[in-house]
Amino acid sequence: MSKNINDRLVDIYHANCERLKSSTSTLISETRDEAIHKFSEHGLPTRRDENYKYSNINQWISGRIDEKLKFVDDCSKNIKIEQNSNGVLICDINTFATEYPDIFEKFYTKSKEDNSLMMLSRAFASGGRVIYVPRKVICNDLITIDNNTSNGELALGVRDLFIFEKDTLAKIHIINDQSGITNRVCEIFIEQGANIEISEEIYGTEESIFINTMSVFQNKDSFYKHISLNLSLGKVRCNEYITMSESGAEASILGAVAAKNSAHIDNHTVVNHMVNNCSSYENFKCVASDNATSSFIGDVFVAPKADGTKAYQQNNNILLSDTANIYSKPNLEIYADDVKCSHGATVGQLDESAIFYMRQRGIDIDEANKLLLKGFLKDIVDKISDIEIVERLSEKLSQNL
Amino acid sequence: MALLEIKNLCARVEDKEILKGINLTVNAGEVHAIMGPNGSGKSTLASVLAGKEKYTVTSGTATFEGNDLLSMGIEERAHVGLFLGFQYPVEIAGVSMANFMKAAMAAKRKARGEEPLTSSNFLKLMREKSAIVEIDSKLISRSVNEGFSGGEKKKNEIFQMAMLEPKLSILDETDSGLDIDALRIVATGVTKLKKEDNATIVITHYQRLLDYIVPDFVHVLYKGRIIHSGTKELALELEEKGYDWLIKDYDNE
Repeated sequence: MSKNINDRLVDIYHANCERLKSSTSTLISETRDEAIHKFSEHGLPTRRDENYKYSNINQWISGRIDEKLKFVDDCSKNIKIEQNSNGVLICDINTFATEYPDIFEKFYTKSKEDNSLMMLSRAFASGGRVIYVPRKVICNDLITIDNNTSNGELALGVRDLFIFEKDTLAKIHIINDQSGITNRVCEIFIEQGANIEISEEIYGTEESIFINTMSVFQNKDSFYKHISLNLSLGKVRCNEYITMSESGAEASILGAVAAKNSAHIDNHTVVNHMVNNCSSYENFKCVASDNATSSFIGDVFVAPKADGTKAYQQNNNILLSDTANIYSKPNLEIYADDVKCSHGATVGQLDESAIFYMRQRGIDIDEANKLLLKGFLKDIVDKISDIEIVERLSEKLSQNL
Repeated sequence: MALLEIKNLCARVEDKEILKGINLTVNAGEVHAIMGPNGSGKSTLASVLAGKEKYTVTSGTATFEGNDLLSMGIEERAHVGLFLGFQYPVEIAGVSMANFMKAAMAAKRKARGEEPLTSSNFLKLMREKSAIVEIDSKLISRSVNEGFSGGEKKKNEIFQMAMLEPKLSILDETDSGLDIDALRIVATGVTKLKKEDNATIVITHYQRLLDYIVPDFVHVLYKGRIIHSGTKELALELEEKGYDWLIKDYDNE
């Protein structure tokens, strides 16, 4: 019997670890062995893991690893080092760890790492990007990032690290275009009073597998907004873990998904309200057609004594074919009394009366469907503050629906 | 040739026969009013002519400028010049009025083999036509009918009619839910759009609308048939006496 996928990944690690260790800072390498050990204890998630009920990562990767995939351990070779006059630094993670060890050590792996996919990425950590915005820097220019890491290959340890110090302001736009297997972890630290917007486009080929974990740690009175548009044709699992550790933090997580052909797009969000007076607002809108699958699991945890919490969650879906699948699972765990929490999930079809109305005005049925779907998803895209991006993504929606 | 010619039209929804033999001829330049008690089939007639798929035509014919209307698709009927003013205009989230009208105009022009309007001509036309019904230009950038008041929705119907310049407009209870001022604006809007080569069918419960939109013919629809037709004086008589005298005669026959 052939070896199972978890053992094979451990083998790949042992075959490459010396090289990985010698080419990266000890701050990155010193936790590798422990991480691969922790990974091997649990392995890749399967359907038996509650949160992966609709996305069997183990099976996804098992089915692909036999092919002659090239393991890549330098995902950051294309990252240019940029440092602008106000001190904002963009560079690859190894350069950052080498040149700013104190800052690096304070943040690297400190967000909330407790699952095997994050352990896998820590073991294989070999590339990724750092964005460092020092105290009080207001960064009005949009920072655009191109993430084309896998390039048809196997990238298990893409590690991004975004650090926004106290009282900063920044807008980041990320374009993910995937063609191989990528396991990305992005740790985001938002310190007191910082105001951060991250918008993201996700594309992928039919063969691509993209596991995208964002682990966000928010301090007092910080504001975080994340808007994603997912048009991948492949398999995507997005995890977003948000920890609000000090009061007054606010997070807004918005997602638009258009899954077609045989795409499988899965979003899992976890918002941890650990202290009082934080608010979170979630809205995911998904469309599934053909044989595609879209899934959303939204966990909201409100700790005891986290009074004054406001947590809103909404997930609306449109199912366009008999062979498409939509799963939606809101999951709220509330241990405090003085809270306002709500959640809603719907799955439906396009509004027939609206289609009749449009057709009566001469718009043909395909165009009417398209206008309605675009309107449904554009609602999310419109929340991006950069107007040029909104226009470009609206155009993308028109082409892709 | 008549613009619209309906002969012995019967239609049902599920197992319920609603139209039981409608005969009606509408020529260019005419205004027809259709009145009648609730549930008599007025809105059904409008929907059947527009092609709503919920209704099945069981017998009879309807021709539009001599062409078989009933064999056309919903959008095709719109392209040849049939317009339905909805009793309850539909709210369409996420689609702006401007984009909606742009798509509708482009579809109409394409069906006629015309080039689409340039953006500046389109905007100019929108401005021009919105003045007819005194519609707030801010509404144009909002989603179709979303959050519009009752009056705004109805004005919006007439605005679309002005943009699309149909040959035959069927206005289904355009006056319901309107205050006096909105009623005047909507009705005068319709009057302004009246031309030699177009026609209007007004479905209404109230004589008041017909003070503005003066009909050439008034028909009373009851139990799926037109039981009585007359000129504009009939509407006044109905306002005064109700439908009972007609209904009694019909039911006794």
